[in-house]
Amino acid sequence: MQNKMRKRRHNIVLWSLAFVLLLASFFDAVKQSGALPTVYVWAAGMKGTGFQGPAQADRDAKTARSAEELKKRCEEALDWKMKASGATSAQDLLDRMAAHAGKSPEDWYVLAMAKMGLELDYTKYANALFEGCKDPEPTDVEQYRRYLVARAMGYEDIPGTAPEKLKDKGIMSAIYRGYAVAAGRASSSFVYGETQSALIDLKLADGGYALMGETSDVDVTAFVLQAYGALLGAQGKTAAGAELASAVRDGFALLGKRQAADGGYASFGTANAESGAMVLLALASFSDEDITAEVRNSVHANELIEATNRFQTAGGGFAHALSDGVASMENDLATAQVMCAYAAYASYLKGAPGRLYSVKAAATPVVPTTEKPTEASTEETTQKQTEASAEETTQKQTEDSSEETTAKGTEVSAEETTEETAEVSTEEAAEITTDGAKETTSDTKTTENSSADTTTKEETIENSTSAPTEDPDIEKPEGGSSTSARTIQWIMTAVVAGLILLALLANLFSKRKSKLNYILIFAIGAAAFVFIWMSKITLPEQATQKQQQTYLERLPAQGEFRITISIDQRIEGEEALLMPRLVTVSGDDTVFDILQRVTTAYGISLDYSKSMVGTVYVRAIGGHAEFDRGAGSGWVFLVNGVPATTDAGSVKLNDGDVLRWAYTLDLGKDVSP
Amino acid sequence: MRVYLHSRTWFIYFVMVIVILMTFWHPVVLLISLESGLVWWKILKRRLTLGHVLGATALLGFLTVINPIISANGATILFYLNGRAYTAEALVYGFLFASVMVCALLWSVILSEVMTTDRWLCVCGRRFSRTGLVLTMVFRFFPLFSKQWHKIREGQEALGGTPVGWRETFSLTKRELLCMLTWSLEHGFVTADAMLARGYGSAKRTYFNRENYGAASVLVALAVIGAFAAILTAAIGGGMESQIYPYVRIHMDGAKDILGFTAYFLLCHLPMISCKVLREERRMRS
Amino acid sequence: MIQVENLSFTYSGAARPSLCDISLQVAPGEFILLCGPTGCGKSTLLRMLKPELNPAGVRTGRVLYKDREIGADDRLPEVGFVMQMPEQQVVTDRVWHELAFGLENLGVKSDVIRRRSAEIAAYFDLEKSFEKDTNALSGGEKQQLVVASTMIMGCKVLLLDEPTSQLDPIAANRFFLWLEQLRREFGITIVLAEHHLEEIFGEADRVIFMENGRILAQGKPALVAQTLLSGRNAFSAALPTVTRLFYEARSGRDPFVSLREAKAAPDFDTLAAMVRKAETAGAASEVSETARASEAAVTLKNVSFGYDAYSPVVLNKLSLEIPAGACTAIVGGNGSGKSTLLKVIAGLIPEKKCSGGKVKFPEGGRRISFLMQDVTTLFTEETVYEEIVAGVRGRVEAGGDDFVERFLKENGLSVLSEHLKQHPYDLSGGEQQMLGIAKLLLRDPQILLLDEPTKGMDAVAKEQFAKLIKKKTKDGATVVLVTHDLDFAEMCADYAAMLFRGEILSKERADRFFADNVFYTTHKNRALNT
Repeated sequence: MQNKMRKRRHNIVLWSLAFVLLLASFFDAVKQSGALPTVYVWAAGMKGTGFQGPAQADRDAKTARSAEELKKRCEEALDWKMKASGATSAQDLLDRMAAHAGKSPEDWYVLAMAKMGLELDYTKYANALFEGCKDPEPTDVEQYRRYLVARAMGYEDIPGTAPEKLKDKGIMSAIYRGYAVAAGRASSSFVYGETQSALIDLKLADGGYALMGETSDVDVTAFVLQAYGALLGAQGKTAAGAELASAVRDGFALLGKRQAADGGYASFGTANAESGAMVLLALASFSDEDITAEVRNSVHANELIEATNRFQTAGGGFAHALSDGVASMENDLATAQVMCAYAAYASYLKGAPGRLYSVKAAATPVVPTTEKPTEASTEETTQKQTEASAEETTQKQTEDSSEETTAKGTEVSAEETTEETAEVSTEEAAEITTDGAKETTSDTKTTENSSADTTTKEETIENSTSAPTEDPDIEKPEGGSSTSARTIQWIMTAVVAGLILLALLANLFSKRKSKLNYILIFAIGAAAFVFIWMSKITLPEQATQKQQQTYLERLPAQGEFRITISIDQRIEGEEALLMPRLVTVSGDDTVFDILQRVTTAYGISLDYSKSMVGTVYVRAIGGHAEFDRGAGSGWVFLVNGVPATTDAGSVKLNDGDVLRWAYTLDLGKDVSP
Repeated sequence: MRVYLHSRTWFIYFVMVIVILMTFWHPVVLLISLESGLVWWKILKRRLTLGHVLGATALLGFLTVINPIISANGATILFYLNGRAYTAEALVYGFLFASVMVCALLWSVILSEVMTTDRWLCVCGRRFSRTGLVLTMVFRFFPLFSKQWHKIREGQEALGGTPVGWRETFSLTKRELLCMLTWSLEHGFVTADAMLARGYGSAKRTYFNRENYGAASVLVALAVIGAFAAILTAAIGGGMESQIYPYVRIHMDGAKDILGFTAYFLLCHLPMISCKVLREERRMRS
Repeated sequence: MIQVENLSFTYSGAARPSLCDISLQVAPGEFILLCGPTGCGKSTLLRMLKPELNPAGVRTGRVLYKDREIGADDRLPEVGFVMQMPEQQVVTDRVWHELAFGLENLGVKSDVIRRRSAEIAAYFDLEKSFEKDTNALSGGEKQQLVVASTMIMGCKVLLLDEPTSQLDPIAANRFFLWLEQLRREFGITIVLAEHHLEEIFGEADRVIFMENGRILAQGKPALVAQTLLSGRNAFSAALPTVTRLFYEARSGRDPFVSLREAKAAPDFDTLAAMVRKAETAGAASEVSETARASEAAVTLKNVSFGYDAYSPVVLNKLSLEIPAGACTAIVGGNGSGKSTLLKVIAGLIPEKKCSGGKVKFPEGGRRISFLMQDVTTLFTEETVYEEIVAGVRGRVEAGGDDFVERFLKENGLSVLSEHLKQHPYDLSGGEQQMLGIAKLLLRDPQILLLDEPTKGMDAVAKEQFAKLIKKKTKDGATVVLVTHDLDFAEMCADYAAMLFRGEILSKERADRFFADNVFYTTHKNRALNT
């Protein structure tokens, strides 16, 4: 007995040290979060440089009316099309057109409808578009169109339309590639440059472009200019190189030269509506910051619109060409393209992005659900629309309405807790896609089962889009995801149990045993077990993330829109963590929410800390941590090229914004322009 | 062989070992530190029990598992824990951190064993003789203080008035603290008187240096500094490099690595030639 | 060497002077013993002789050292000063550094310090402990170290202020012997203030007796003893046993001042016989009183204990019965396990750690109070009154306004009632012990455990305390007393037990125990042994 009673101190020392370390690191974490808003310092005084449409004031007066006019003409054209095809409503028209989605010029209608901002459900059309992609040998043109249309509708992953496959097959490829690159597919500044150069290389001596030969063609030139606009827009205003600027200038100069006396354009000797529409689209693709007024004024836009208006028939549609100076026979392509052009230009005039692909797409309010918020929001949206149409919309109101729509989105899905709602809506979408008008089950259980359910459903979407016949490889057993999470929990439990055993043994073999040590060990162990089993463990490849990916990459719903995000650790010769990428976000998402979702979705690790007052500090992304490369190094973010003024937790974005997370070596000085 | 080393040599030695241990989070450096630490442990005749080994392992495992919860840094995500990434790199970092801690613990024991107050005094030297004096008084006072507190505890308990409930316990503890304060003051007065009685403050204090630099002390100090310089050269040249974030990567750079590690190995082991003297001193102290 | 002329001193803020018109001459090589009851001013006088430690206050008169007047600003390294507390006087943490400390202060060069400390270590036999931690030294060794490190500064005069009050009698003796040797070999001047006179009284060249800040008597030891005894001064109780024992028998003249002197007297045997006869007559009645104590208040059986596996066993299969309603003294050398035994009885060391040993109490007889060795550790309050009341407030309040006063008076602790407003640390050593005992008694214990209760008490206080213990045992309390002070043990104990290496060797009635012991016995028995 006596021999066992020995002095022992270091064991206690060891444990207390462990605790002190634990505490220290904890406090460190807390301290860091509150004490290191270096971002603030960098950006002090820059607050308030918002991202509203610039130079709005001088534009307001003269444009409000013409924007309304353009919109009206668009609606007239749509009415004509509806009558012509016997559709009862715009939605009906859309669904009817789905029959030959991706194979006819009617795609342009879809583009136009999207750009007009109609509240429509595009899922059926999109699905049809995807179905078409399974054609054994799609023609290039079809693929381009599909890609463009899908982009306009807000879809991203369209099998077989990966723009990488389309490159170097002529000028159309180059143009589409420009679009695609701008849309956020596989790009970095390098790719941007390459794409630009590829297009610029095709420039002819007169500053224009052509499908073949040395004579520039108005349509092609306008098309290229649209791609330039897209590229410029996607990179933020900073990225315009001198070369690109001069190409744009030359392009518009040529278009100006080719503009007929009446303001219209001709192709192959015939004055027609489509060419003018293309030019108008080219104009709409650039914002006022992108090009100077001088360049913009090379083309007389008002005269162009006047000229194009002449192609409108009494029925509301547009003719390809005039017969004896009168528009008599409507043409589908002409009508659709003019609609696109008018819708885009109206959008430009209102200060919103005029580019075709950056459509604030409509949500899917058609489905009657038991979800109250959705209903309410639908109602309210309708009400809102009525209001908006009742009044003559001024610039300011447009702003308001966009803000309010954002606010509505809160109710629909963008609350912090609404990941589930989002899931549900995906679910619903899935139901519609696969079973048409089948009744929706509103399964909103919050348990693991529900998430597992959603998982399988989501896979159904995948299956139905990629292969209608069930693919056994993709199909996972029910609840498979939670099983692997449980495995991890068991592994962790085993590890902790092993550690407890070790500690107990250590105590047993040490010179003197004290009750306190045992209590301590068991207490720590119990706390660890509780922690492990209370924690939510998710595997990176698990469904929730795919869901997030679909969330990020799906059609924007009500109150949602798309932004471009990139994460660049800025190491020479290393690919950026995330190339610029279009993602769907809600108006309520902060920059940090977006970052968190995006990093989770694309398997990038994120280390951050939140302070008591709610400010967020991002310590590391993808393993690149602050202070890794010097005292002034760390992560900063820029919105449209402008360094942040506050922490990521308090900045929200607008439609079409370009968010860039960059690793700075010198307190942000090296990443800002 | 009886080799006597000067306190400052020891000081330089420990500073360099610990600096290298703390700055190079390199597996080989850790291994060398561990090995030489254990050899020192043996030399100083400390017992290495199974309890030590198991305890250190438990600590190691504990810190390793904990670190990814605290830090979500690192590129390889194993899984998400409550929405935060649990990364492989953070695990490795935790393990390295824990290993460094264990090695540091080991070395701190060795340090406290070798760097006795006498040696600290000598290191402080003439320039810091006042600091040195305060140091020795503090070194003496701490054990006295804890002893006294223990006695007060026991005395109160012995009186038969074991406190009941946390309220009483708290008030007793509070009074004990006050009592300790009074005792410390009282102690301080007497000590101050004793110091005055022995001429403190009557002249400019000198410093009793008991140590001389022998050839061995100088040589070992030079060798230690040389090894350190060699390690620095190797490190600056890109050797002995390991990276944890964002990916674990151990750069191998043959010649420089070998130079650095050999130098560190020598650095750690060289002063062991003085083990006989250390053991003698230990015997004399108690 | 030192000359004090008409020195008076009043502490700042005090009403009465602490020293009144003191005149004194100290010759080189002289050994002066300064004695007197607690608070008589001997410490103040000593401090006046060491300018560095001069207290703050008003002083008149002169102090001359080597015919030179010294004031508070002078520095006299030649005068060494040693105080009571060994623990607190040691400044540094190593023996060698403690020795060097004084010389460092004087600005002596390193190599000189090296030589001198080597010399001193060799002379005082400190070579072995030269590298030791000062905390590892015993109290006596610490005091010796303090003296040695004072001596190293080349001191000619050594002022000692009750240097042994915190030491046990054996260590105290050893210290005095060592001091004596120092004086003989170096001829240094010693002024020693002390109330424990047993061993040292006869050795002094001159004794100065002080009371209330005045010198009442000074001269050869015998002369001062004669004055005290004939004047029936209360302090005469502090005089050596042999002096007091034979005073009556020698019909009040020419008292013996040491055992050596007594044994050398031609009529010693007859004198001793006379004294013995008188003593046994007084003791007989006591024995009959204690005989009634028969049942055991505590029974220990096969108790073994060791603090850890590497240190030797402290208690070794110890079995002991403590009789109820009596005082049992447990005596024995240092490290014999006396304090540990008390801790086992008090339950501070739980029974289950005693290797299967049993500690039994009769039904309802477990109310124990234990006075630990260092009584200051008991004090947690600001004033003496609070201290007494602490923990038993309910009882005190129930007892009425003057409960504390009455209680102190009843228990012969009325010394304390003057100091009720003071801080416990401001009491003298003896008074502090009294306060500790008052705290103990207020808890109304059935068993009182006392560990070295007489440390720092002067002779008068000791006598009072012995009476108190007798009274308590008569009231039915059981007292277990652990002490080195055999005279005190004889005064109050009914039974005595000898503890040696963790075992009880003998347990007998106290008078028989001390009479049977030849070496380990009281001064009285030693004096009367023929």
